[in-house]
Amino acid sequence: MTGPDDWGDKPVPAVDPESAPFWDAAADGRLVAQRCEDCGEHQLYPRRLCRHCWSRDLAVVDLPGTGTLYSYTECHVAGQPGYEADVPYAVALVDLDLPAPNPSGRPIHLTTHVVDADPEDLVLDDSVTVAFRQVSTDPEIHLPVFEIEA
Amino acid sequence: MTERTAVIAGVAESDAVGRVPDATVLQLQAEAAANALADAGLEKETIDGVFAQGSGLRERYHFPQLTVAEYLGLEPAIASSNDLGGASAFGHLQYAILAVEAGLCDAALITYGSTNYTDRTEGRAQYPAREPILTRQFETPYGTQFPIGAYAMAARRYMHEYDVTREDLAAVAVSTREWATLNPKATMREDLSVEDVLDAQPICTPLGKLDCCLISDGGGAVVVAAAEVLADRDADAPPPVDVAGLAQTVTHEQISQLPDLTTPGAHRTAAQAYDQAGIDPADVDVAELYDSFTITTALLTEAVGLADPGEGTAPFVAGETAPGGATPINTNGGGLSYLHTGTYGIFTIVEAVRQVRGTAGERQVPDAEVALAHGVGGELSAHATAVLTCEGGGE
Repeated sequence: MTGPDDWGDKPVPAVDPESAPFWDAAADGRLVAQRCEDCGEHQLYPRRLCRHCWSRDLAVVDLPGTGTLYSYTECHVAGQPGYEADVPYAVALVDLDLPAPNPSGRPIHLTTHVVDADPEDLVLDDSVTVAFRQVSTDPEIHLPVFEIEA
Repeated sequence: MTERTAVIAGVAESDAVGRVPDATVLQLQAEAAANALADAGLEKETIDGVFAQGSGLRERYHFPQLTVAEYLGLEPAIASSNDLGGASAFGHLQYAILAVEAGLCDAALITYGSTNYTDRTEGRAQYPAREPILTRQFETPYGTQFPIGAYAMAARRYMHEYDVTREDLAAVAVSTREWATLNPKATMREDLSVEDVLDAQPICTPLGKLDCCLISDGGGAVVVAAAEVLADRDADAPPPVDVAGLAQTVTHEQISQLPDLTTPGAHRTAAQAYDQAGIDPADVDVAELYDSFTITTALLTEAVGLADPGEGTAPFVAGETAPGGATPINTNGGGLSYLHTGTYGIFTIVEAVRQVRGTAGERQVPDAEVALAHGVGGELSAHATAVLTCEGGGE
């Protein structure tokens, strides 16, 4: 079991009024995105307006929490403070499954970690499922991470 | 209003480049500025525009264009700065041309300087940590190495989609090193093999240390002037270089926001620059393509139409990009072997100008009439393509 104590000095998201709903949902075990009520596009990270049509009519919706491994890299140098003891560690991009409809077909990628897997075993386009890792208690922050589907 | 045409009149590096521990970032820019002005055959009094960018951490300074203008004793009619990362010099070239052609100034000085090598050796990080705030709170916590991690993930995706291998990417570094052996100012001039690249220390897989650009000190400068200003120069002044096409775009900042890591904005800027110049990729005689990493150049070679889709490494593997080849790329030795100052774009312009003038010395591409230069900033984020030609070029 990992928790905030294991996160050490690694960076923790600086929650702001715009991002709070995303992190609140994550603390509740849900991966959410914004859906534009005018054009139907999804976006992640949250924004004040739809990046496609600039509508402000945005809803927060649950994503399936599944996707595929789009790419990854194994970092042999620490990319951020606090990661020095972790090298080598993998950083990944996951291509998230989106609720229909997805009018433009533009994918949503999320920078993340793949947990419980040896980087040597990672294969692009493999299916992944979201999990959450708590990295802070006050405020309570859980980062979305992903597991390879069995 | 009379129509004016802006041209590139002069280009230069600082007196020394690569590893220059005894120079400040302002000294490097001053040297490059004076050298470019001498190259242009113009007097200081003619310069009435300043576009400056600096990234020295040792002497971190705000207001680059104010600081540089003050330091150089200039009181320009227009002064500006931008941050398109490695494409910044292309932005400045664009704005300088606009300013000259609009009559806001007669001659504009574009400068850039960096002490990244010395900063690194003296313990100052090249890049400040990217704070986990605003848009970056969704990426920084995962420890992404800026910018290498982003390019590494692009490399892995490119390899996956097109059966490209690490050996294929290494061919980019090997070809570029061959050019560097012909450039006395290049930092790395020893022979390099594919095996050397594969065996180098891994940094962000699949990229190893020799897939990554150098970290260098250096300054560069470009003088853009109205063609009419050049009429009074000495007869032996170098011929002006025309910017036949020049386009930029920004597609994102963080790599997660680029939907297709194998299709960067360079596809769009190259098409626009070719269209403006009225040429096709087949007309390009020499290309200076930003090479922050081997994958960068592979993606760009494809994007600017010098290779088929998925074949961005093929001309390098086939030896066509190396000295004597049919598709010469990165003739100065590139960011991989000549120098890379953090944002390298201005040096691609400097080399492209020298090639179309026919003044590139031992590494001159024969009959180079059309040169393409391409800058990239951030994590494949900002792109700019320039097509340069020179009537009266050639030795």
